[in-house]
Amino acid sequence: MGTTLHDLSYGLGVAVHPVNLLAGALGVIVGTTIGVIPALGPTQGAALLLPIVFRLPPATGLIFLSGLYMGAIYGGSVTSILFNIPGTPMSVASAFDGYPMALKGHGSRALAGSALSAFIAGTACIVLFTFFARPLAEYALTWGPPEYFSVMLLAYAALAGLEGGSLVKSSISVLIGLILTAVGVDIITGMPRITFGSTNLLAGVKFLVVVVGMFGIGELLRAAEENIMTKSAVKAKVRIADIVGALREMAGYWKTFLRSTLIGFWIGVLPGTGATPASFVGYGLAKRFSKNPEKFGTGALEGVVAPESAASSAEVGSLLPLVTLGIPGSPTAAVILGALMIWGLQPGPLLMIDHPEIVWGFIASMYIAATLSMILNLFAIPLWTQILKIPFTVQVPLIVFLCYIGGYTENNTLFTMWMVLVFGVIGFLFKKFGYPLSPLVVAIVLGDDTESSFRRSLILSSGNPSIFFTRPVSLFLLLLALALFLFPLVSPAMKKFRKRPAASARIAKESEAASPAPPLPENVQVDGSKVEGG
Amino acid sequence: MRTGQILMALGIIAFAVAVMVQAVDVGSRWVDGQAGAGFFPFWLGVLLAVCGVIALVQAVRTSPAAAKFFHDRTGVMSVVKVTVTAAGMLVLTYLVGFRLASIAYLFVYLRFIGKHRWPAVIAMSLLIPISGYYLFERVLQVALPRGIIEIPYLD
Repeated sequence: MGTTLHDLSYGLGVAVHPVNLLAGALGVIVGTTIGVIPALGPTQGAALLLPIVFRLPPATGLIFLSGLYMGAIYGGSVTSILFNIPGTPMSVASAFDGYPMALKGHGSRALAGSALSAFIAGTACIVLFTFFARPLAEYALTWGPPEYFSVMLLAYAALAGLEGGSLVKSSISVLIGLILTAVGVDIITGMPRITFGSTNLLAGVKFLVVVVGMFGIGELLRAAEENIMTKSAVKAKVRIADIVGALREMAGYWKTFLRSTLIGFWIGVLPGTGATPASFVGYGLAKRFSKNPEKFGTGALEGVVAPESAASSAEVGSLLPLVTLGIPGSPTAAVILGALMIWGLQPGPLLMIDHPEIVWGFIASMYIAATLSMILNLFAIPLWTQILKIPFTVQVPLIVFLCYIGGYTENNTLFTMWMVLVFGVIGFLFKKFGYPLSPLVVAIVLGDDTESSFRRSLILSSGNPSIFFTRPVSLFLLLLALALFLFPLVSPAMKKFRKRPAASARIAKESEAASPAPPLPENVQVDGSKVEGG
Repeated sequence: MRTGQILMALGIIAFAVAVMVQAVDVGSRWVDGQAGAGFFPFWLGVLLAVCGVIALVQAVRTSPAAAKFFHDRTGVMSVVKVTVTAAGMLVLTYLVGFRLASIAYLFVYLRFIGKHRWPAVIAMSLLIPISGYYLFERVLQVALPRGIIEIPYLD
C-alpha cells in the first residue's frame, strides 16, 4: 500500500512534467479526432501514429498513447450517440439507447451521461489497476517459460472463445498471426524460414505493417463499400444543467454502474479481450437485471451508462496484463506493446523494476488523460461533430498516404508499402468473410515470445511436453484456456439446459429469482461477431 | 458469398500446406537437444490446415442462396477505386519517387473520384504531401522512397 502510493506519486511527478503533460493533452485531442472519424478507431489510430510516437522518449510517447487511447474511447461515443455511426466498435452498444435519446432531443444528456460514466468507471479502475499492478508483477517474476507459454495460450483461447464469431475462424486468425511472426530468420537457430523464396521476406513480417494494412487500409475499404455517408452535424451543446441532471439520474443506477465497472474490468484483465465484448456484456447484464427491461432500446440513460462504464473499465483493465505480464489485454494494448518493443523495452514484470518511471508515469498519465478527455468531450462536442463533415473522398487519400508512410518506416523499403496494401486487401476479405482481425493482431505481437517460451520450455524438459502439465500454475492456466476456448460450444448447451427449468418455473408460477443469469447474454454473441475489430 | 467462403478456405489450406512444406525444409524435427527452426511453424501449419478444412466443410454446407458478397455495384466500384488508385500510387512511387507520386495520387483521387473543386484539390494535393515530406524526411529523418527518375531540383 505504502509503496504503491509512493510509486504513484513518483509517476504523477513524471506525468505532470510540462512536456509530458503537453504530450498527454495532444494525445487526447488526436485520439478524440480519431475516435470521431468512423473509419478510424483507437487501434488504427495508435498504429498510424506509432512511426511518430516511437521517435519520442518512451515516457513521453507512452503518455501520448494513453491520451490517445482515452480520447478515442470518448470520441467514438460522440458519433455513436449523435449520429448512430459508431466511431469505434466498442461504442456500438452506446448507440442502442444513446441514439434514441438524441432523436428525442436528449442528446446532450446522453453525451453527458456517457462521458461521466466512462470517466468515473475509468478512474475507479485506474485505482484498482494501481493496487493490482505491483503484486501481480512480483508474482509473475516467479514464472518460467512454461507459465509464459500457457498464459499466452490463455490469451489466444480467450480471444477465440469470447470473440463471439465462429470458433474455427477465430482460431484461423490466431494461427495465421503466429505463422506470420515465424516468417524470416529464426531467432534461436539463425536459419531463414517460410520466406516463400523472397529475399524481401527475410526481414520478417513486422506487426506494424500488418496492423497499418489490416486496420488502416482494410477498414477504409470496408467503409468505402458500405458507403458511410458524412452527415451534417446536429446541434449538441452540453450545458452544466445537463451534467447535473445526468449525474442526478445516474445516482439511481449505481448498481448497474458498479456491475458494469467490475465485469468490464475483469473482461479487460482477461488477456486478449477488450472493450467491445465488455460493452455488450455490460449492456446485456443491465437489461437482464433491470426491473423494467422493456425501456432499454427506447432511449434510457441506463442503457448508455451500462456499456460506457463497462467499455471504459475494460480498456483500463486490459492494460494490467500488458504492464505486469507483457500480455496485451486488447488489440489496442497489443499496439502499445508493439510500441514498447520498438523502444527496446521488454514488457513484463521486470519492466516495473528496471524502468519504474515508465510504468508509473504511464499509470499516472491515465488519470490525467481520463480527466482531460472528459473535459474536452463535455465542452468541445460542437467542435468534434464538425470532423464528421470531412468528406469521405478526402479521408481516403489522406489515410492511404499515412498508412504507406507508417508501414514504410518499419524498414524503409518500398516492398513494405506493397505489403501494407496487400494486408489491407486481406484484412478486408477477412472482415467480409467473418474472420475476426483482433486475434491475428494479438498473435502477431506475441508470436515471437510464444515460440521462444515454448522452445525454451522444451529445452528445460529435454523435449518432454509434460512440463506444461506438471507445473501447477501452468496447468491451471491451460485449464482456464481450455474452458474459455470451449465456452462458445458449451454456452448454447447451457442456455438450453437453463431454459427448461426456467420455463417450468414459470408454469409453476415460481419466482424467477432462482434462475441464474448465463455469463453472456444472447445479443453478445450475435452482435459481437459483427462489430469485432477496430 | 458461398463461393467466396469456399475460395477463402481453400486459400487458407493452400497457405497452410505451403508453410508446412517450407518448415520441413528447414528441419521440423528435434535436433541437437532442441526443436528445429521449422518445428513451431510446421505444427502451426498442421493446425491451420485442419481449421481450414473445417471452414471449408462449413462453407460447402451453407445454402448457395445466402447473402451476396457485395450488396450492390456502387459498393464494388468504390472498393475497386480505392484499391486501384492506391496500387497505382505505388507503381508511380517506383518510377518517380514517393513525393511526386503522392502529389499525383492525391490530385487524381480528389479531382476525379472525389470531384472536389479545383482550388481545394490543388491546395490539398500540395499541402498534404509537402507537410508529410517535411515531417518525415526533415524532422523525423526518414528517407522516403526515391524513384528511378528523380527530379533533382525538388530537394
